[in-house]
Amino acid sequence: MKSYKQSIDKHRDPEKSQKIRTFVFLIIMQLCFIFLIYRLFMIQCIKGSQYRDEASVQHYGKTSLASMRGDIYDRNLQPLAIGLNSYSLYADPSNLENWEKIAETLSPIIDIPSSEILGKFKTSKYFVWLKRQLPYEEARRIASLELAGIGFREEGSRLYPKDELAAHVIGFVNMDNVGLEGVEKVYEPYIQGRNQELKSRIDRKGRILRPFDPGYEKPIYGMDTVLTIDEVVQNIAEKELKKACETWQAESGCVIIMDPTTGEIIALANYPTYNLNKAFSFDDEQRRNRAIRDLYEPGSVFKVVTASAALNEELFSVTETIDCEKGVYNFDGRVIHDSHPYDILTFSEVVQKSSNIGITKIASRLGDKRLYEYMKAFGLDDKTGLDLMERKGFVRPLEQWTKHSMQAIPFGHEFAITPLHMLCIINAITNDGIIMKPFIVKAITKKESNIDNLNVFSDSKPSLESAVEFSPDIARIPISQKVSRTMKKILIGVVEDGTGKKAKVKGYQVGGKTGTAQKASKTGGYIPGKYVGSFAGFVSGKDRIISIIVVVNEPRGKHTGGTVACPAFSVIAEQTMQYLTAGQRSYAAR
Amino acid sequence: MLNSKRIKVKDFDGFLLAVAIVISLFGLLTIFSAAHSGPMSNNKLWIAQAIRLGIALVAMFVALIIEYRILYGFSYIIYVIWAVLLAILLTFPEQSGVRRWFMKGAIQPSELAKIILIITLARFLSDKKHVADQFRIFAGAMVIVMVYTILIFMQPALGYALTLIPIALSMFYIGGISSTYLLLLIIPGFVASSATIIICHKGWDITATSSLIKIALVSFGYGVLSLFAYYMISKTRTRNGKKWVKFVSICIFAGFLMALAGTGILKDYQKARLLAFVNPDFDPKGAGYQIIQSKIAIGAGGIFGQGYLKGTQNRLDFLPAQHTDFVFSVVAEEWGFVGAVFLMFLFLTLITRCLKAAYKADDDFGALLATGITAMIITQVFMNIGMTVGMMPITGVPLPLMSYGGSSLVATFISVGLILNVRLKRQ
Repeated sequence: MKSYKQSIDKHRDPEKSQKIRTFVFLIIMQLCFIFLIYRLFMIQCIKGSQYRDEASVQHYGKTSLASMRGDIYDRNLQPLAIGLNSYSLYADPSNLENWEKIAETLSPIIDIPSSEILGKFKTSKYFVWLKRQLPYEEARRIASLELAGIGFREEGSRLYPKDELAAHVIGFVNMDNVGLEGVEKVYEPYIQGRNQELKSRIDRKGRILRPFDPGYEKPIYGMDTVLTIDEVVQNIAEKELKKACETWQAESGCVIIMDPTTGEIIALANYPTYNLNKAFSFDDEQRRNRAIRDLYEPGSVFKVVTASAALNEELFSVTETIDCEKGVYNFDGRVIHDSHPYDILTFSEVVQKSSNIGITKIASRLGDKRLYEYMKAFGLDDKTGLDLMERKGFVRPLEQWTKHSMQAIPFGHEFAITPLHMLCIINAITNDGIIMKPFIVKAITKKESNIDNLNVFSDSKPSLESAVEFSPDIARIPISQKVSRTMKKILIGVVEDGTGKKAKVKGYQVGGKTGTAQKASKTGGYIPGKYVGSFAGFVSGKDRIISIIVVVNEPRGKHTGGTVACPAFSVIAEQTMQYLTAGQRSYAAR
Repeated sequence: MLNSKRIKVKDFDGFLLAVAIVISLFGLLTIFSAAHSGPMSNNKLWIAQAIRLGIALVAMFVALIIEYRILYGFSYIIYVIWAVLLAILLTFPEQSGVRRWFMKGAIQPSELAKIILIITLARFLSDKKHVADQFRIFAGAMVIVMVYTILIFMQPALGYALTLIPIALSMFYIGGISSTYLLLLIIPGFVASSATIIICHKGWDITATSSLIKIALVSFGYGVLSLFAYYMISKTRTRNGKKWVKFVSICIFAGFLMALAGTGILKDYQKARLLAFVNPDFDPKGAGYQIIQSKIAIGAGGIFGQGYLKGTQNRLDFLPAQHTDFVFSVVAEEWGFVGAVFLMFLFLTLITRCLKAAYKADDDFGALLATGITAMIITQVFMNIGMTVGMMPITGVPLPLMSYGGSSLVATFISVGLILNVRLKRQ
């Protein structure tokens, strides 16, 4: 140690050394400062905006307010779903005069204990929600108290004034006012409007400091939707469907009423149904739109397709006779029965009497390939094109048909379609061989709305001038006009002198086809005693024609379509035609 | 020593005093803003601080008028008394995990301890200036420093303890202690702090066997390297060179040992702060929070600031300890780069004036006293501002004259008084 200390001491001049050292010390200090200033420069001048962004991300909180959804109307502009202004109540505790008294006053109106309200006052200095989405009356009562430090924010909420009416068509919204089913879901982008975001300054603990900072977006109404549904017809359909299903203790059922010339769906009813205002207390069994979601084997109604195909291929004349083998016949090892034994029937009578043996013989002349082509031409392996969430039909590709398929498919088994598919087949018969694309939203219009505080219902009706209108569109042309007219006559015969006599309507021409199908089990084969009874047809009078399908699923006691579905069809057809023609309530929106 | 000399009023450094007062008024203004609004709002804080400023000015006046050489005479006694006081403090029950204050936080003895240490060290170094045995001077001075450092470290107040080291180093340096001994402090200190950070960062548990093996391997490898270097130099270089290798090796090894001891001694929150310093995103809600928020606040200030009383990070309470440790962040947010640099310029002026007093001091005691005080101020400024800009770990060192708190303010003004005093007593 001593040695190098001595070597240093040699150079030591204490006084001079101290001056130099002081100077060095000063330099070091200045370097420290330069270093700090450099850091500051980097943070503040170079990266300043980046940090500022980080800062503003921190102190803006967003509160989402439900949007003002557009209304949904039926074709005569009767409201089916209404977007309401509701009012969310907040307090600014720094402006409240007498906390206890105000809590006491508010407590009974908003139905929250005053102690809880007091607790809310304490959570924030400047802003706290007391209750969201108050109905108008409560909001008005509170507003009339004129309390300082208490205010409202508008928020949207949904009201379905007709409760169950057209529930499956309209659909419903969740708590955030977002459509979950039906038109509410499919047309969400139009109906929704703009979700409002309440930007507010928050402090470190997330407490809202000021609610109305710039950046508060005014609510914008969603667009109104006009459906093709007619409230009155829908009501008739629902009422009669319910009656039929209850009479026959059926598990479920559905009715669709269409205008075959345009493809408009005038009514669509399902049983069981549900109350849209309480949608969440029901489950999928009630909420499922069976008419377009559930596949079934249509049974004899399908003979319409087989017969149309045979006529369209000009393989038969309507008067050609077919031996129906007295009700029992063995096709290549498979025995087919008719419910009523017939001997010799004409082509027309095979359809009218609904002979399985007869239609199988017709089909065998047609051949599996052509039958398959016609099924595709009718669009049974596809969607119908409806603007709701419908299901594709299920038809096996030709390669997968077995040797007995031709003894099942011609009268409506071994494949599955929705009731809507079936009705589209009838539409082809009634509309000169043309299937119009089914649709349910007629127009989407922009509401001329002015939203001001505490003006609860907006009276404005949608103006059709600014409408996005949906016009009829041809979907398919499976058969010729001539064939369709022939088939139409045959179907009228079904009602006048065949299996569908109970579908008759006094004063109107009715045609259609009954169907009674055994229900297929999921594991294969058919469930004994479980049937689907249906009737699909049309009713015409003067210059109006409408097509209707009634499906009754798993009726008890009787099960033929002629018995369980025809009476309902008759009543629905009669009342609807009376309403549409006699009352001259033709389409107001047309 | 104590004979009366005529006081020349022209040597009274009014400019230094003015700068100090301007800084503390700026501090008051900032404290008012920091406590102005937000959920923590307390409009009385700045008044309390203003009263303390008054007290501090009185204390400064006392420090100014007394013959500073009296301190020379009493220094050892005061040193011992204060050491005892610090030791007594350690027997007190903990307040939120630490024992730093008397009278429920009213008085923080560590603040005055710094000044007492400076006075004592100044006396010791000036007394021994002409002693030939440098090692004895160094060893004695180290004992004086380490007693206080350890006592304060045990409170625990790591930040305060760490400020003593640069003060001591500066005084050693100006006091003429050989650079060799300074390196003996600097090298192990540097090695120890980096190694501690690495050990904490890697999460090594030094009590675990596996970690001990790792450390043993590192030490062994280090030893081999040192021997190799020694061997190489011994063949080609002078004797002196060999000694240097030996010396530096010992220093580094000591540093490692200190790091090991350090990781054992450091509290969990202190380790977390070290880690957060290395990487604030490591724990952004916890230890890293303060660093991140402080940088955001400073950055958000930009070049010209958000305006007085308009700093959002400050007012919305995102900035932690905005009237105490992070008062500089408030300045930087509200006054921007321009304001922050202006404040630093004020500090630099203050420090330069202080150093001028050291430079022009009559005697070694005065020079060393002024040097120590200068070092104390700059160390605190550097550690505090460095902390707010994420350059130094968070240690809880206040910004002199600015941060809310009486002890620091009084201690700093006493220091300023002493500097003025040293400058004044010129013939």
